[in-house]
Amino acid sequence: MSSSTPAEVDSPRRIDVRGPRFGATLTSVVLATAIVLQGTAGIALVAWQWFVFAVATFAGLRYSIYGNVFRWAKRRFDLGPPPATEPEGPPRFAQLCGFAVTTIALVAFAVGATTLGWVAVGIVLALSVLLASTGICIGCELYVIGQRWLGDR
Amino acid sequence: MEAVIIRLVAVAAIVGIAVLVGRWWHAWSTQVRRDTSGRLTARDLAAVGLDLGQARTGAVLVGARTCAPCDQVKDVLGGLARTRGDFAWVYADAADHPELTGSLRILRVPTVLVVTRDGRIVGRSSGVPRVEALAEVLDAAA
Repeated sequence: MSSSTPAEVDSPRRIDVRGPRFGATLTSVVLATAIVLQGTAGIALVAWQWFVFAVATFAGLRYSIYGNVFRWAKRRFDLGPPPATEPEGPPRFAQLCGFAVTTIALVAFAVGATTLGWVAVGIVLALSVLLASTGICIGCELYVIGQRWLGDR
Repeated sequence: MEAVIIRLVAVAAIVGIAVLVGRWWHAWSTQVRRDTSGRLTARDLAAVGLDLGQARTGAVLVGARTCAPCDQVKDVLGGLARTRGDFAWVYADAADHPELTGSLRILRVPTVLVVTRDGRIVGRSSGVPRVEALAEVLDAAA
């Protein structure tokens, strides 16, 4: 609880545990459609997803586009209070992972390495499906392990 | 047209593999392995503050501040402690106990170590263990 801990870790900001799985479902649909379409439309969908990751990573999950869709759906369909909440840090890091790999994909498309680009998109799709279907978040696990290695609490 | 079909198959394969891996991972992380390879010394037990008192078996939950599933494990262990008089448990932050995580090669949190009175480790789980799986190990050790 020292004042030197990073604001992001120290903040009591917590999110509904259902939010990331809802977001991962949307991400899965967008990226699966992108892989099937490919071409300009497919790359445009990857670029959209890259933008979604960027907003959630750099502005914080409260500004996450899919997170706001989830909050709207919660009100609209009266989904009730969160069954549990979790700290923002791990899922936000997972969004950073998605941002990093979709950046690689977009750079690959730009330089003509189309196959590499779609393999990168496929990796993000696989991890999103994993989170959406089972709640397992690899990026979150990496964040918690990384924090311990860095001795950063 | 053929290209689209190949892409659909690729997407279906990615989704299928991810779901299968997820199921396997879930099954693995809800079980309690009968791991009898290690032990907690009296010093370890004192460091994490596990005082078994009248209890025959105990558990150490190794967690971290930002670990969301750790709260679920606390509920599981808390429920067991209420229903069984012979069981006590403590929470230990991984960051506070590097000697423990190092010697026992604890990489993931939450990790639960089930120990007997003399500090012998009789069970270990990584993830949120099923309460029945934990109870089984406790019964076997008691």
